[in-house]
Amino acid sequence: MKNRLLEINNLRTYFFTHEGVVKAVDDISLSVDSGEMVGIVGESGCGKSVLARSILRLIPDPPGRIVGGEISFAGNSLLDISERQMQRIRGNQISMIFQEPMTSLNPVYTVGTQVAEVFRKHQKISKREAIERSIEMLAMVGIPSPESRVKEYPFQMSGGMRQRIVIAMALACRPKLILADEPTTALDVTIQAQILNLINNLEHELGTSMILITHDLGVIAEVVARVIVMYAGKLVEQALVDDLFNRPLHPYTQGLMWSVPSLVEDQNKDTGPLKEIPGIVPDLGHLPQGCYFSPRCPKKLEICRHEEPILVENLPGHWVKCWLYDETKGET
Amino acid sequence: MQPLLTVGLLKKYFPLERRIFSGTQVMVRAIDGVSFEIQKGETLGLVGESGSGKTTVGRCILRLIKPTAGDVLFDNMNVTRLPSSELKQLRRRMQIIFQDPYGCLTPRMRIGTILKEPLQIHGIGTKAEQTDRVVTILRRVGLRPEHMNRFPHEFSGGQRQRIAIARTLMVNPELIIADEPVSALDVSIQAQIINLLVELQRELGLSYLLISHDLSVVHYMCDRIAVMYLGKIVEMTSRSDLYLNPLHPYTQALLSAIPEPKTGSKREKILLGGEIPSPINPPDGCSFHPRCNYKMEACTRVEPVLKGVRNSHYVSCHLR
Amino acid sequence: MLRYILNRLIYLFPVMVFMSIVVFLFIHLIPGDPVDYMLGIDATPEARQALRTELGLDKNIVVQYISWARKIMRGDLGTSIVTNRPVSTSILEKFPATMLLAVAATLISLIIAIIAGTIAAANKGTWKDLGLLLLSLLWVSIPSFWLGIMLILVFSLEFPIFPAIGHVSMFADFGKSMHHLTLPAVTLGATLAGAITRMTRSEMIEQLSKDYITTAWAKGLSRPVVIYKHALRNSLITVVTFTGLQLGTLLGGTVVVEKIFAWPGLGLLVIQSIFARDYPMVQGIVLFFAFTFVFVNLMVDISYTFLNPQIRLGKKG
Repeated sequence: MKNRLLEINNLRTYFFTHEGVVKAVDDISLSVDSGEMVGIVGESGCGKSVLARSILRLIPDPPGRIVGGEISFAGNSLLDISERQMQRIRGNQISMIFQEPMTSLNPVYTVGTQVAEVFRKHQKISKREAIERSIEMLAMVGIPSPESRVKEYPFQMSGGMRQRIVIAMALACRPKLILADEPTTALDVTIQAQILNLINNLEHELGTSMILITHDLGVIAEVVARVIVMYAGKLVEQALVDDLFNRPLHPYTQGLMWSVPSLVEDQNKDTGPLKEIPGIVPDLGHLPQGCYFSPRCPKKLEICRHEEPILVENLPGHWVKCWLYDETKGET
Repeated sequence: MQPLLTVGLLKKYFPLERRIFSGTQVMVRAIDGVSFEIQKGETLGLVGESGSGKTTVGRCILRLIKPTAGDVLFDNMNVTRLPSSELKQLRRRMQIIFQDPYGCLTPRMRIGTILKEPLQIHGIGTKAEQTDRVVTILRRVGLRPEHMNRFPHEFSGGQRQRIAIARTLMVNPELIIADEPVSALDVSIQAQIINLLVELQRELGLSYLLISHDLSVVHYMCDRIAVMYLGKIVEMTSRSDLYLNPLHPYTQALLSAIPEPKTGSKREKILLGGEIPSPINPPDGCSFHPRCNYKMEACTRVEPVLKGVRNSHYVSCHLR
Repeated sequence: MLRYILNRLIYLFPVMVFMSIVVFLFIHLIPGDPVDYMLGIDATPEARQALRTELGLDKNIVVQYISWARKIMRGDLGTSIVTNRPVSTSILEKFPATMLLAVAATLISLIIAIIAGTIAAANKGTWKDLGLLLLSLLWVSIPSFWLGIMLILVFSLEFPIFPAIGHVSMFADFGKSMHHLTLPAVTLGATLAGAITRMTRSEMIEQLSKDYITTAWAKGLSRPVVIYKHALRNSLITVVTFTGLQLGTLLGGTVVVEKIFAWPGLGLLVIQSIFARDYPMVQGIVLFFAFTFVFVNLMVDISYTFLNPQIRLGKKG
């Protein structure tokens, strides 16, 4: 029986700006078991990054704030504890990897210092020991000649190398959960393959749970076991990865899958146009009534314009928030 | 048939630092001998990762950067040797779309002004005619005439890219160089822009040079594809041939590295070791050999040449 | 790194030459005949001509410049008309007092301003921030002569805490020296403090919005560590540059401050020399100030090698 490691219930994170309230994360529930890899897929502005940062309480206040819901980690609430206690969890039990390796590291300190910093903060060890462990970490993430590279500065390293350093920092204290926010998006394709391979191997070796955030469905298919799809701050579909790819239910998920030209099926301009999702992602400050996706949805019903659908379990473990699959159609 | 664009042995070296005292200059070999052709109505894809030099190729063709060596022939006119007075005429026939939809439009100019500018520069049409053309082109790219009076910041990334495309169409070009036109856009918007570009090509008989790191997009849009590595073309052939029968080990690795958006049995991944080397100090012999799983002794010493293997399938590798 | 320093030194030479030309021209473009000022209007034409020849004023301006420049390179800044002693001697005598004042003012300003700017940036938008911003605006705007006089009124006359005038050498009596130094240093440093506060604040705000700061937070580091160890360290480069550039204004400020506090430094000397029409002295001091400015900025440039590892190690190919 798997242990429930992270449980998020009805999370709401809003940003209070001059132009109004931006509901970046609006009633999201999600759970991660120990050793599990969960993916969050969505385009820009869907709230996936805000969700990850909410877990670590890294939302800048002002203008953002977690206004509702619960987050519990290993049985304890993360929202009730003090900032001090939260600092003990960050980098230690829950770590985060970010998208841009070129700017994620401090330019004026050596990479060794930056990795050692994590050890020194969370473990009571000497400076020398921290550097030794940092060298071990560098080796673990596949950096050749770690003893000499540990003294280098970020600007002396390529994007792929820097991302490995970021991963090393994240794994240093053997966290139970890693939040990876588009970890390979900014990397070249061949380097992306290396890093994804590294992440997969390390996850197997260490049994760390992961929430992997990306817009790339290919990455999702390669790495995670379960997926949630987000749109305009809402969770619109959740399923095991095989189920999602074999039977995508939500029209948005379907649209996403069709948007990417398939190499395997030799899809090209002569075989026909790509199936587009018309229109653009809504402004989170001015959301439409009813289902947020309805203005762009090719299958919309009348009810979609007025009422927000409810998340229903279509098949075991496969949830979707769409009137097409809700027999009640709003009538209780 | 005479190709619309011919690039012959194009080279561009950038000096690294200005040294007052030292003798030899350290050069970044951004492009190191690139040759290809584009026929009228054809789309050629230029694919590569960081340091491949693909963006520099695009800029050299338009002479936005002056090539160090080599020739660019457009409709038989030598772009690299043309005097500046005639260059302007030529620029009407070749246009470019950039990657960043947020940076390519002057924030203080209204869309109408931005779109009229190419017409004004080339002295095309009266004021009324110019406005009419703006309206026509706006509609063609999927926007509305009222958008003429708005500013760039009022539009989304995808819409701005449409405006950028509209801008290139204003002067009726024959060749459009699209440098990562959809990389900065969301996936669902990418499909819209890709479809638009394909439609426009059919309607207007445009030729494209599509520069991108995204093999899925390139595969969809292009007739022929050239793969670049560290300033050189390592393989060039038709779209289907490249995918079905990649000959160069780098192309094979590149194709295998793309994460497939489907589950079930996965093909074997070729993982390349090492980093992408810097174009300042390329390896001896074949510049790919340090990362190549098939390298032979010759690869470390002798640089391979791009040669035709069959059916216009060119590859630069000692294995062939 | 050595190449970087060498580069900087090479640029030093043309800058110095250019500056000497500017200084020279300025003095010579002042309306009025220096000879008149020196001898008075009753002087005879012969006496005038004699002095003119002696000072080399009858030769053309380029020749004058060259002979002047030659002397400068030998360290001969001319002779004071008032005291008849070499200008260089007077400068060397008075320089330590000014340097003490300038260094003290800069140090006090830097320390207070960096802390104030950091606190303002870390608390952006709150009352703390607004208060500090207002305060810094005040300090930048207050004319130093007013501030000096006010400080004397309050802290010397009303509440006799600090002495109003006079200077005691550091080496003679350190405590007393610092005591006398306080009011003038605060006066001189005030404008600088205001400017550095604003600069630090804006630079810190920018650094605090960067990705590596988010990484630092995600590592579980505490607020003081994130702000001081990570953000401030990166802000220092800009702040140091800025301070170096402000030195010019600071040196100019010594003129007023030294006059108010009767501080026996170069500022006081130059103002006395101006009123006395002591051209060689004025020229010499201005040139000295100019060279000091260039030299300090060279030091600032060199300090980058410590602050910015990219310069120290050179960009990797």
